[in-house]
Amino acid sequence: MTEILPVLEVSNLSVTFDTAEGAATAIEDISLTVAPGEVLGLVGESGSGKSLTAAACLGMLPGNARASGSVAMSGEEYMASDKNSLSGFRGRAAMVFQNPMVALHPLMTIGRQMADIIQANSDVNRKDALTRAQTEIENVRLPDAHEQLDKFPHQFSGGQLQRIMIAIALTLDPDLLIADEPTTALDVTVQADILNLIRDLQQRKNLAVLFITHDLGIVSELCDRVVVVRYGQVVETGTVRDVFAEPQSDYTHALLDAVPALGDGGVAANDREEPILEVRGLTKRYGDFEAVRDISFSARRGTCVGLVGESGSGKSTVAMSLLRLNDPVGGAAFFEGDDILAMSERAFHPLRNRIGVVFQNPYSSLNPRMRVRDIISEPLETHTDIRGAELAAEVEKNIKRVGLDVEHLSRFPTDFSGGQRQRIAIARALAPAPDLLILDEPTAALDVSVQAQVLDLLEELQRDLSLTYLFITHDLAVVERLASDVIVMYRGGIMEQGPVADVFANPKTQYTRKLLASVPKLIRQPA
Amino acid sequence: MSLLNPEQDVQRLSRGARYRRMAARNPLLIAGGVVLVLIVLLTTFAPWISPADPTALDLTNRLQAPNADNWFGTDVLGRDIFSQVLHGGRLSLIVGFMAVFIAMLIGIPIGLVAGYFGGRVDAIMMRVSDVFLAFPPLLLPIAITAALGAGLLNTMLAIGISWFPWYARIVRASVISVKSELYVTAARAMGVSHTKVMLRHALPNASTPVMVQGSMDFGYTILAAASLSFIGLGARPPAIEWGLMVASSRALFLDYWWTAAFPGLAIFITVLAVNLFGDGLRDALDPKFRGRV
Repeated sequence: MTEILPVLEVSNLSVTFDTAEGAATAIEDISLTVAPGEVLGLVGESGSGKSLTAAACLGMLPGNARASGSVAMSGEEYMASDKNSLSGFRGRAAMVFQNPMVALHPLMTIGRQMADIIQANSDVNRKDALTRAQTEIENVRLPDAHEQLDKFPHQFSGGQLQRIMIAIALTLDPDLLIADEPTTALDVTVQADILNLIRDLQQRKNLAVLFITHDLGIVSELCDRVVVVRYGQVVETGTVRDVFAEPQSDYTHALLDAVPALGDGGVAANDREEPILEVRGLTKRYGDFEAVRDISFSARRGTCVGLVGESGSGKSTVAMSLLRLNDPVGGAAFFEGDDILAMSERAFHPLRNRIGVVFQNPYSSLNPRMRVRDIISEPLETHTDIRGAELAAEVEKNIKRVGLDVEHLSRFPTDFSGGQRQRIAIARALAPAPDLLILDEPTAALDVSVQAQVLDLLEELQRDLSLTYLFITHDLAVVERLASDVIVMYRGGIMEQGPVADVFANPKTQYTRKLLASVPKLIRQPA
Repeated sequence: MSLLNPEQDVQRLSRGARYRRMAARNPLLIAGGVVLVLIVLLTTFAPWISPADPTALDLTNRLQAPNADNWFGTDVLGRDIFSQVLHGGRLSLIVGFMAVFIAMLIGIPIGLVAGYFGGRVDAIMMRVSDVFLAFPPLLLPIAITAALGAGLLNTMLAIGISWFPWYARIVRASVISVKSELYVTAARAMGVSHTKVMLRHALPNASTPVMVQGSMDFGYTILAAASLSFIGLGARPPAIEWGLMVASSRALFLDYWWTAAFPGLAIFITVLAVNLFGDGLRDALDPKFRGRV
């Protein structure tokens, strides 16, 4: 009996970077195998070295990186550090990247780019190359394939571009497809389509797939086996069913627990309190484009209202209108009975310290040239007269409240990780003691374990300070965890709204049903 | 060094270590900087360093070629050219520096306001400053000095006024990109006034290209000041200035090369050092290296 050789076998792969301080080890002693027709999930949080592992497999390491160990395809050995010997390897393994928007040449048609790649890898004429390209476009289920070839990248949506990237990868007839977070930049419904496509192609062509992701739900749905990496080392490996049902390492355990899963039951609705915010018929246009159309909802004091939608649904535009950072063309928003949209800026100014905001990207929301102390005291200096020791005490109170130390105050934002930065942003928003906090995707840029910590913090703060949250997110599981009411937005309008438990259990519109069905489900029970 | 752990505190390098790394990556910056510092020191302490009084006449010793007593030779009135070059640098450097300073003083606020508010304010302010760019580079300073009268103060003003649109443009461009950062939006949402947002959030984060441009322009303004002096619109005798020294040797330098060569060389080395420093600074502050430097 002949032994079936793995399509990809990585043994004891280490990568070090030459830096000014000497060698820094980024991945250490990683071993993994992908069998023919198998989907292997490579899971880890940012900085865990999962993308670097893929780059090393394809000989695409940056210039100051050195690799040791071995990489073999179907039993043929390729030294990971030798870039030249890998050119033959590359045709047999193809890669799909995270952001399809930047992976294609913007000034060349899709057909031309695909034909160039096909001709570079096989001896065919232009006409045959274009025919081949059209076949692959049909394979990834884009309609009217012959017309698509004459279009430019900007004429496609993100999901369509990712299909094209997959089509390009498949023109090489690879044995192995390496997909590096291929759906992270996409909306959840589009993600579901792409995952379906990958699963379908994988089964039809008996492809081996190395699927790199941070999303354990995707792993649960798509992969056969999983390798969990942390700090550049393999933490755990095994079949998805075994690892998820009975994780052996503490880290995997914590990671699985941190994933907010749909169906955990929502927050009980609270109908005793008065609404603190009531929005009626909010409409905002940019030129002829209606970004937000006739939005009405209310938020009771001390509750969390989830505003859910995919990119472009207008959910952030609503936040900007409520903060008076754009000018809506119609509607009203009553904050404690007063219409804040009808006020002059001068009249609204005192309310600005009662409506706080935390943005999605903590790497952009903190001024890199200001110390943490100054960042947190800025809203207090703007709205109150407290100065000196009293101000310092307030700032210290707020930094402790978000779980950071007083000694962090004299540092700059660049000294902190993403999760810590988001804590600083929350401390800044809380400093003037607001009643309403608008949270615009506050955890979208964070790793899942960090996201869990930030959500814990937000929950605790809401309880302690009886805050009202308007929580904007694309993540339905997060809404279920924090919110009592939910508003589902689609293309600027409201599709559905009501208590979370009702909407999630009995969605009335097809869109909400599709949205709920698209969320990758993390299954942890042994079958 | 340990394995990469994203959630641990990013290690802070001491200020000294950061500068040492910056230096190791930028030999140009260091070379230019060292020469520049040397020039500044030499000219600042000229009265104590120079071997002779730069204005002392010695008619028996006129137009001597470089020798042991007069390293750079003597001029038509027998004055020591080495001492003159040392002293002359003071005016050149001051004029160069002040001209850049004046250009920044006018240009930065214009660019800041135009970039921050955009729209009509931007259009009006930028079109007005474009007018100043429509003149050939040295013609505007000449016209302004001609109108205001020759003299060092007017030279600085003239160069500064003709240079400011560059700063307005640079600041405007980087303020526009900083404006889209969320910390500016956050500050507005908190109710921080426009003035404070501009000064505290926009300007500090838009200042890097200004520093680079300023350090490079310092060389050009020295050159421009020397040029104005050369055509008689800048420093006037008995002041000592490099451009003026070259000008006064106009009729002599074919037979007595040193009269023009040494002040000319001084201008050349200074401008070169400033440009090397500016180039190095641009590389060091390049956003691609941000956080690693």
